[in-house]
Amino acid sequence: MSKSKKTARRHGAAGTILCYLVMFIVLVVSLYPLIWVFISSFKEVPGGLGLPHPWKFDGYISIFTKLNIGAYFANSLFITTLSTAISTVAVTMAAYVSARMNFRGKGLVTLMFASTLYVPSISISFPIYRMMSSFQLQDTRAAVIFVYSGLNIAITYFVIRSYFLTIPREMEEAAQIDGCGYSQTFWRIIFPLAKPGIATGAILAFLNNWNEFYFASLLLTSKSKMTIPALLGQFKGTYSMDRNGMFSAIVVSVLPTILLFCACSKVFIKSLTAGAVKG
Amino acid sequence: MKRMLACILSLMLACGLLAGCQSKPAEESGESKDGTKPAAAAAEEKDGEELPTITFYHHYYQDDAVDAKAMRALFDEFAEMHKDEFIFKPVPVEGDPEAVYNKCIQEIASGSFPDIVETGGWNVVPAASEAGLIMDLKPYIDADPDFKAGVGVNYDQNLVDGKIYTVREQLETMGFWYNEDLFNKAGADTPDKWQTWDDFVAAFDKLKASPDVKTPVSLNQGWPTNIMFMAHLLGTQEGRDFIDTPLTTFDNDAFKGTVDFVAEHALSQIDTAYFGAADSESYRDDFLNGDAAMLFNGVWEASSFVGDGLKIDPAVVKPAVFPTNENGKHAAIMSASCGYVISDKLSDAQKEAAVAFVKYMCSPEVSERIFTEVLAMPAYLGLDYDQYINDESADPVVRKLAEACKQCAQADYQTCAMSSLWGSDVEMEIGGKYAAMHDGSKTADQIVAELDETLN
Amino acid sequence: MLKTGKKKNWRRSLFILAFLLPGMFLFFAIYAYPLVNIFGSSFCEWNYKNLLHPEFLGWNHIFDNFIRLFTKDTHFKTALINSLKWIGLTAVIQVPFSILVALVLSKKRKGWALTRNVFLIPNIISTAAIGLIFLNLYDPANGLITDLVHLVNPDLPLNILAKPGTAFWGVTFSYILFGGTNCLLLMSQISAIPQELYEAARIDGASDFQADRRITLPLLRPMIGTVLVLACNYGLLLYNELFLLTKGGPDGATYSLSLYVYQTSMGSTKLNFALGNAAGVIQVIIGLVLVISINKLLRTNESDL
Repeated sequence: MSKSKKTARRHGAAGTILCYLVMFIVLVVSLYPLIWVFISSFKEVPGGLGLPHPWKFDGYISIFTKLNIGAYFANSLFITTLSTAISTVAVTMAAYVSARMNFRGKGLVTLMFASTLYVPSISISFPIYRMMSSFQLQDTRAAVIFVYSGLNIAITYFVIRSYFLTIPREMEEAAQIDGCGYSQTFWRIIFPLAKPGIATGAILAFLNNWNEFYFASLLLTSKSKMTIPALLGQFKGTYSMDRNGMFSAIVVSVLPTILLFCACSKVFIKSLTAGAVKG
Repeated sequence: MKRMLACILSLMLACGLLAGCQSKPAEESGESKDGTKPAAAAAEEKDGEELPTITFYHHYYQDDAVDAKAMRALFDEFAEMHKDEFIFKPVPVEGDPEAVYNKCIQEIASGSFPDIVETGGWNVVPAASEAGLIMDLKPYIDADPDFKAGVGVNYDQNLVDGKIYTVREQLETMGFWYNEDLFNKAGADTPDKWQTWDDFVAAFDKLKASPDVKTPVSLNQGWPTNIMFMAHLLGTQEGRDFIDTPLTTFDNDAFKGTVDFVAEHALSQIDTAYFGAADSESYRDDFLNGDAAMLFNGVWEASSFVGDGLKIDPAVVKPAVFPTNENGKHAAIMSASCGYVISDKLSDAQKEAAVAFVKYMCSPEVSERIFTEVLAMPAYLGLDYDQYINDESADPVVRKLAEACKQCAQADYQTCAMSSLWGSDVEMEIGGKYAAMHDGSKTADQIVAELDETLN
Repeated sequence: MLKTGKKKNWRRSLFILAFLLPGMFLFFAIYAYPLVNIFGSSFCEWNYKNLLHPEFLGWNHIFDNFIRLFTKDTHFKTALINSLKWIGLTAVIQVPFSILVALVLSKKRKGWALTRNVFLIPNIISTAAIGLIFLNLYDPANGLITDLVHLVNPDLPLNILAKPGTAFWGVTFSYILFGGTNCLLLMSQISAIPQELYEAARIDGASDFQADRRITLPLLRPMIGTVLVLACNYGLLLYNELFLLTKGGPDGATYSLSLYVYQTSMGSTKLNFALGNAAGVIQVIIGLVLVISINKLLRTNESDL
């Protein structure tokens, strides 16, 4: 295999072009709707091609001066963070047990988690609403946090469980031979190894909770407790008359999410690459 | 770049914490005492005797919408007026009238109902009345002639099995709007000269042929087409009979006639670009851009004909009502729909207070403000629209609205909107057939057969 | 491991129980009753007339709701077919696209992190916003798509969401290319593959492409399974985009199962929860069959499910 180096390099050159082509397509596909909306939001009559002429900021001005966006954002951050933490912890534990241990009814556990994906939210809403009424939890953030904790258990379960499955069994066996108990093995050995998988699951749960609106609108009534997705409703009726306002509203409602994501992406990368080191 | 992002993140987290801390104490002091009661109300209750409390859920939640602000002001004034007799607590439900409706259905399913709600047209009456949870307002209306005048067409339209479970203080009133300029350019007779639907057809054809008019009308697969559909059905005696009899089948000559007419003389005549999806609002844009000569929408559209960015001259926009098949007679749509609904589980004192509120909302004084501030047509029919039309100094929007309301109120035949008459399910099914009527892929008989299938 | 004594067995059971408890609590508190409820009420009459007290249909009519779904209800038929189509399209378009992007980005060429983050953006903003954006993109008068098509052919009448044929594809393309989360999942798995494997392959003279085919893809199989499950579920449970773009129209052509469940139960004045839940039962069954068969297909080495 003396020519190995040469072929590798040549493949690399062809590969580079293909790689950049794919990356370019991804960028275009993901960004064109947002960029179009963003540019259009400065146009007097949004839509069409080309740049705004003249630039118009009226929509943004009225949104930022008349609506209290900060409160919505704070509520979202509080509710989403807490509920994501609760569900991730609960799901991680269950996922570990079902990925790593043999016991009767193991298939049933997975089946139970899987089935939660397909229960229509209206069916969930009736008992939840009644439960919250009887616990006097109507219009509290606690009620929403509770529901959100359970809303994404299926997705996080699948993600985290499939990550546990990839961790070599020898790691645990070695630990147990060293005299670690079950929970010690989990916290000391497996948990650190599984961080990237757990982080990914948590991110998915976070995103879904961040954008959820049906239960928020059902369980909360006060404006002071509402979450970000409600903003779109605030805008829709109010600014549907002028399209400039509508487009500005779309941009404003998605911007906090994107900014938060950009700010956190460093943390994501760190947690995602943590697994690679250990192998 | 990274540092900037880190700064933004920490700033946002700080804001979040701050806002969280600020709202926490206030909320705890309010909630510690009783469920959802705000501190002010709880405090009021403490000193003095126990006042009856009524919680009122409504959908006027938008911070910056003119109508929502005006309505909230009316509610607050009522609460203030009666603060010594009872505590009236208006609660805006964030998230469209649908959120109020969802809340009601949830309550019904657990055997209760909110004290009083305003559902903005979403019909909770069938489910709530079957469960025996809501109050009949008819005795109160019959006992008070002023109240009866205030509720107007509600008295007939919302009468179910001899009971009136809901009253809405503003009507959904629909004729249509037209651009006089475009009619003149096309040499078509303006709607005020129309005697029958034949004149509509003649004008429509001229508008379509004219190079100055992009489209005679812009429609979609729902609302604006429904307006024309109902108006045409109202144009014949057979159609009116069909409207008046309970719906069991669509296999009716008048109905088929309307399907054919709307297909032949409107839907199939307009370009695909001017025929939107069910929820598309572009039919309004097309009129406001000066592309379309007619706009089938309610009187409330009057408020769109002001502002800086407008492409058409407000002076050429005129309201009109639909023709019928009888010479010179007109038809319009006036719909009371579902509005205030009161729980039957309230104490007598609470019921009195809730009824007093509905009476207040239907009173001549409030009706006038609903007209001039909310810019909607009140149910109270005693309003003198001429007073606004002739008042040169009045707000031009109010004058235009007055003109439109007057025409609709004086129309020879009136009915309620398709959704109020047959329910939103049927409305959606009929709306679904407009696509086939547009491209001519189904005959009236096929459409009727398909619609009948969905009825059972 | 198998030779453990009784004491260890007991501790083991306790550990399993303790670790399952929080997850099971969430399941039983939120899902157990609704699950029983949708199955139970699908054999009942339950609509606006008796919201408080669902009534059992009787043994002779026990399947009436299901019979009605499959024989009379045209919307249910389109909903079922559409949902199956969306599952298939997602599996055939979204998943392979995500795998390709994940493989490309895992080469860590310049700009890979940016591309990955940008790919995620359509997934992190709410589907409600995405729906609204696409509603405007497809607008016949001012929409970008219309304008682009008209650059090529100015006379083509175009109203994507108003025609039954194009509306389906309009909805499909409002979500199908956005595989950012799938890509993220796959990449997290790729990064866990030991580098030594690649080095060994390189010494053997394998190109990047060959290394991907021989090493990455086989090792990715479990994660591809997970991604398939998640993506197909998205196709099956498609709702928000539809609700904003078409509400199932025109003429019921873009109904999905989830939308059908909502429209029959909550969106209709008849509030036919029994019929909606019967459709919900079918949704649950399709979903579980999907999960189990994907697991069987891609994780043959796993004993459970």
